[in-house]
Amino acid sequence: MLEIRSLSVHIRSRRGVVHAVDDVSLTLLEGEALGIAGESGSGKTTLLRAVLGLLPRSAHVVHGEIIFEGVDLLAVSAKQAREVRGKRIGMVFQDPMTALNPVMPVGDQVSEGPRYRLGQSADESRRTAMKLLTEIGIPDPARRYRAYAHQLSGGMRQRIDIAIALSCRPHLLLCDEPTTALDVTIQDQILRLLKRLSAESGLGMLYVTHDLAVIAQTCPTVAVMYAGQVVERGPVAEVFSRPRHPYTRGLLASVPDVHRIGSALEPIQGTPPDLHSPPSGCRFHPRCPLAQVDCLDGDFPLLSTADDRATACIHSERMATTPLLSTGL
Amino acid sequence: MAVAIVPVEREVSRGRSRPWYRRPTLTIGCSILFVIAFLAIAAPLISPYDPTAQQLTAVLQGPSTAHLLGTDEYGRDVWTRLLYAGRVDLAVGVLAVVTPFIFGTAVGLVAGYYGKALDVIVNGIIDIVQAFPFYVLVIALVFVLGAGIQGVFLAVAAVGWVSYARIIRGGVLVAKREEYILAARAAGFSSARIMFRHLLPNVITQAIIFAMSDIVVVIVGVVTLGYLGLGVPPPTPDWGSMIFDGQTFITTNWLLPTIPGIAVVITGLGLSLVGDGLADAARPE
Repeated sequence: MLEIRSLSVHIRSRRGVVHAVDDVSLTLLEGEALGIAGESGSGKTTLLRAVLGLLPRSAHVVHGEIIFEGVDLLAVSAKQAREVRGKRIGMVFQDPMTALNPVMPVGDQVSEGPRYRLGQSADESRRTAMKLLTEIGIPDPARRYRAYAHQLSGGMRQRIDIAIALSCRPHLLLCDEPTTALDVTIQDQILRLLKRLSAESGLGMLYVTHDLAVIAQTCPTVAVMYAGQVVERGPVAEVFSRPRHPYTRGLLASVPDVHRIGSALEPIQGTPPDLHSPPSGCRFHPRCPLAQVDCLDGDFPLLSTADDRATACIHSERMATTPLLSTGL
Repeated sequence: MAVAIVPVEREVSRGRSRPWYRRPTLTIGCSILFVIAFLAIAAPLISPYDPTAQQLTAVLQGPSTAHLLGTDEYGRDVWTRLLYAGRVDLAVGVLAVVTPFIFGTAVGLVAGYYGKALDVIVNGIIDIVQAFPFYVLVIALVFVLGAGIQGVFLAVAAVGWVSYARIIRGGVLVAKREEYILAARAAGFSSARIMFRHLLPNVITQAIIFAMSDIVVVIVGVVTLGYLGLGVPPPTPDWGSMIFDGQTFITTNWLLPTIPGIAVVITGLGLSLVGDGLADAARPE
């Protein structure tokens, strides 16, 4: 349903051009949930905003295609792109406090889409909103309908935010770290809710987060991004149990685990590269324990293998035998 | 797959508004304005005299039961003239605030939202207009447009809108980076809808509060222009021209110029209190 083909996005800044998204290709099948993992600044959010056609003014798509339901979203007019937003692609934001209008009752925000985008009458859109609020697990929706965002808890606000994103019955839901700002217990509820929606209505989902555990819980497939590129992709269980890119392995090793109390976390050496001038060759090589001379230049495209996985690392077969620490190359 | 979602969140109730008697500023201000507005509107019913009828047998009288506040040099009833003057000054004042309020808000909203060249131009105009002192520009414009109610109204409106445009534009520049605006765009709403339904309600409060203090400035401005002979032409009463005409007699009949002055002060006080009260009410607790 969604196919991103070699998408590159540049952001102009005072210090030059940032290569925020570099030659990213992804495919999302009908009703599939794809997790995109990566650190801050790896281009995940820029990628989502490009799909939605809402890049900040300083950013522009250099090349690539975003084919959604047979149409290249980058080639259509602004008016046609707006027609897709909300109605066919919905978005859930990171911080449910700031994503809701503080001076509009939340119910009105949920019914606004059906009313003004789907052309429902005032009564009809109100009923749609009430139904959504019930569906999304808001207790006593009739009372909550008139509440303002600041009167609701974080979890409740995120439910409302999801209800808004779903209000025009989109086919694809973009989630930008929707649970990062929430407590783990509430996070679990929201994730179950998203999973249920995806399963029940065949909703496609693009789920962006830095939290690998969240992806493991929500998405069957994962794509790992580093420095604006996808470095590994595959079924979530296999990628996380047998990573084929040293960055993925580094990410997994740096996740705290309650079952390993006492054992030290193993952070990835170094810092993410400055994307004004990304490293040549494999972008991970300055931090990579497996790096060799042939990693220093050339292109490192994502190479698919027969078992439905793909990695950009050319030394993945040595992963099992090499320690995590950087060689300092 | 049916997953039962157990609602564990509690509604947190905050920001419940205080009752009116806990907001003395707003209450007192509103009461003053209400009384003044009532007196001005009901002037023909309250006062037994014609504001322009001369009675040369009873000039410059002090307060009496027949003339509550005495008479002026033409024998006109001061109380009557005070009320009728209030009608003129308040009407011009309110109109000269409401018009630029609406215009300036619209301009600030559009300029702030679309930005780019439009914003640069609007900002330039704002800077130029604000570089002049208020009275210098207004008096110059009244000279060009001609003295009288219409001239005063147009001059004050032409200068006044920039303040609203600046306030709204500033608010929009901040608010449009908020995630709820991005969310509204992600929902595919039109620019007009995002501007008027999502941005405007979030930035209008500051402009409303400013309008309250602006009315004071404008009414004093209208009175000042009247005092300078640029306002309402005689014999129609206006507080400014009453003060000007009365000051000749300040040594013998000091009430004559003082009473309209007090009227201006009380009106200004009422408006300021309402402005402060509204600002207080709008502040999150």
